[in-house]
Amino acid sequence: MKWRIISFLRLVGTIKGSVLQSELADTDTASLFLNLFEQDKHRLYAFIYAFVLDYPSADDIFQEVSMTLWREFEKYRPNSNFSKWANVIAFNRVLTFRQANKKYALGVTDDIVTELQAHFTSAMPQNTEDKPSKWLHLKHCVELLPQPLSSIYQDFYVQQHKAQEIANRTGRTIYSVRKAIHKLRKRLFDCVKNKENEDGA
Amino acid sequence: MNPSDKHQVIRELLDEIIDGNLTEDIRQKLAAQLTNNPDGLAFYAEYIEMHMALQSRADQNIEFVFRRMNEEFIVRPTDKRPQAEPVLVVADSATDSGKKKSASRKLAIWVVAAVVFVASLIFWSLNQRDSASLAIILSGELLVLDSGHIDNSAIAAGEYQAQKDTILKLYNGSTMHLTADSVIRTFNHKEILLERGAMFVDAQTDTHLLVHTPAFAIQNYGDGFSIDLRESRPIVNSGTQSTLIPKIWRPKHFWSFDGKGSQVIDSAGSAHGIASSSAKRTQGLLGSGAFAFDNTFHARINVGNGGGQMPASGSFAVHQGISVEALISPRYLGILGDEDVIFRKDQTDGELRIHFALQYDEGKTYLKPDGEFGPSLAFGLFILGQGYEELKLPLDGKNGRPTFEAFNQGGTHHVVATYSVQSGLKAIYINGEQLASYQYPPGAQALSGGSGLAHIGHTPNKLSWENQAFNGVIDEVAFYNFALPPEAINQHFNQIQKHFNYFGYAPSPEPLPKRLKISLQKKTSIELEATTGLPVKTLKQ
Repeated sequence: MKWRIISFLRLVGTIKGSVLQSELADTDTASLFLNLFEQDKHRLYAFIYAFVLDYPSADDIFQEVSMTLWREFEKYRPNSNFSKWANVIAFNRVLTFRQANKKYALGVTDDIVTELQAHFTSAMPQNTEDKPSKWLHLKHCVELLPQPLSSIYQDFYVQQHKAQEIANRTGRTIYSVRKAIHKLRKRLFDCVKNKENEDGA
Repeated sequence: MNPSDKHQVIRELLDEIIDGNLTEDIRQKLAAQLTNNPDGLAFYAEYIEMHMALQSRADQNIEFVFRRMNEEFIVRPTDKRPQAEPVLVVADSATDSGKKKSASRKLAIWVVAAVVFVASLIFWSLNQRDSASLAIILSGELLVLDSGHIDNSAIAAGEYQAQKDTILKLYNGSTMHLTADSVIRTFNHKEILLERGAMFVDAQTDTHLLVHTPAFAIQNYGDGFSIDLRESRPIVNSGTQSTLIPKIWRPKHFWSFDGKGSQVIDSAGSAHGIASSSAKRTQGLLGSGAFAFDNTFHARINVGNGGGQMPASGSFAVHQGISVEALISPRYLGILGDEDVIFRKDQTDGELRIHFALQYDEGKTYLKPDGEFGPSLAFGLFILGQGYEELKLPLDGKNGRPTFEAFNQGGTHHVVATYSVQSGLKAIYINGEQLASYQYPPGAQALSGGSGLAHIGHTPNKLSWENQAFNGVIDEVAFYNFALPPEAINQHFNQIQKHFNYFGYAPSPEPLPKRLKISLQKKTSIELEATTGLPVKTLKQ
């Protein structure tokens, strides 16, 4: 509930702050932003979640960061690394969030925050062109899943049913459903990494 | 050992967290695992990233709205996201009481926010009224159709129909002439939509004007220009600085082959391919990379079935037309029975297959036009009421066609196969020139798609892997669900000569932009296609 208030205030801010004249050059700016954002949004969400480990908090921070990226987009230098620029803005927002909620002990511990940020910075390619299409193999790996895991994938990731819903529908225990989801994630992760290794990536 | 086995503890902790079971104990265990552990941190980040890529949570979090009437591009949160898992971590018992204590303060914030919101809306609507007038009627008469307003000849944003020939003076200085019955929608002083009819704009120094139509937009600077939508094909007379923005131009799939590894990136869609062992990356015919095929069993790139499950489904399904485009440098043997596939979607698609290849065969009963053609470039497609039929472009050196020898001398050729449902014309182009065609009844529907696989450089049918591999180099393969018109194909060929990709951009595996801008030749009359807005032919210069 706490974050719904902030979302509401942000919506007001959007009406005032995110207006862009639709003359051609500016529409190009919007198009460029959309392209860059679309390519990067899953990674950006994961970046935020890695610090806060909580969906509602990650949702709110992601929304706020997305709008900030658009509002500040004039400061982005074309052909520089969009992900790196987005990370800086997102990390500042994560720190603000942690400061405001420190008594709730959300997310990873303080000593890991610095290490994690250092890891993300060092793992980032120098420019956008060097960015590997990291999860390109994922689609192929999904196609290779055996039937039981493919079914869990469909239910959990495509239909977005919760584990409890799948358990209710299939008559399984939630424990066994979760175990199957864990197995699915492991199978996909290993498949992707093996294919990356085959590529010599 | 699998890659994740090395980090089993971290993976199990993360699975618990993702399940919504984060506890202080798990936090501490995770911290202990990640401290001074770069490999562990990398695994932690990648495991989460993969989960989020699968879950697409980011998709449900934010939306983009372009409100043309109000000239707003808005990035905003959306309420469509799924219910969050209950994973809020409570570190101590003070949390609940702390929340209760702050409840009254939250209520106060809500009230203040509501006041700010209402005040913003009032301020915004007043501003709108102050700047409402966009143009003045100099002569003629406009009828308000939808949400428009005319006050003493001054018109506001809205939809209008010209009752007779009408002249408008826009507030950016442009003078616009509308023919009787034309319908326009005004957005602001330099952007309008011409819904039907015709208009021309007088030359006016230093003025920008953007005119949208249902199929395209023209951005103009300075000189006069005109748009006529009254014929079946719109006609544009360009100024000295006019830009065409077609509504439909983007391929469904585009493989530039400029990436690395066996993964073949689709820069327009999601049909990323996998190259088999005898399809090798090589120097690009354009850009940094291409694929060399050696005419053997494993010389192929599998680009999937586009998600097709049944006939006419998936991203390779076409309804209004089709184009398959590529750069090739062939070493075709031209022996009877030998075939070199450029692009083929087949298997379970059966008669609905798509086939673009170099062929030499005899006795085929499904050629249109009929005949025996020797070594040819062939394009096969299923058309309702006709069945699966192939068009041949013989490599015979006649009527502008290249000879077999010239075609195989190691040069690069731009080849395009098209079919337009609207016109019923099936055609094959080499280097921008239409060199083979067959006229079906206009409106004859094409059908494709389904669960069969598509391959580049080979057939997906295993039984034919002995003799249908391509021999040579293929680059820049594009698949469209509409027919590229002749002038657009010529422009693609011209772009290649300038070392750009078909669309005028530097070769790259990066995703294609959402919008294309084509600089028009100065003071030229151009006929456009009514559905795509792409140029069909230049009428006069």
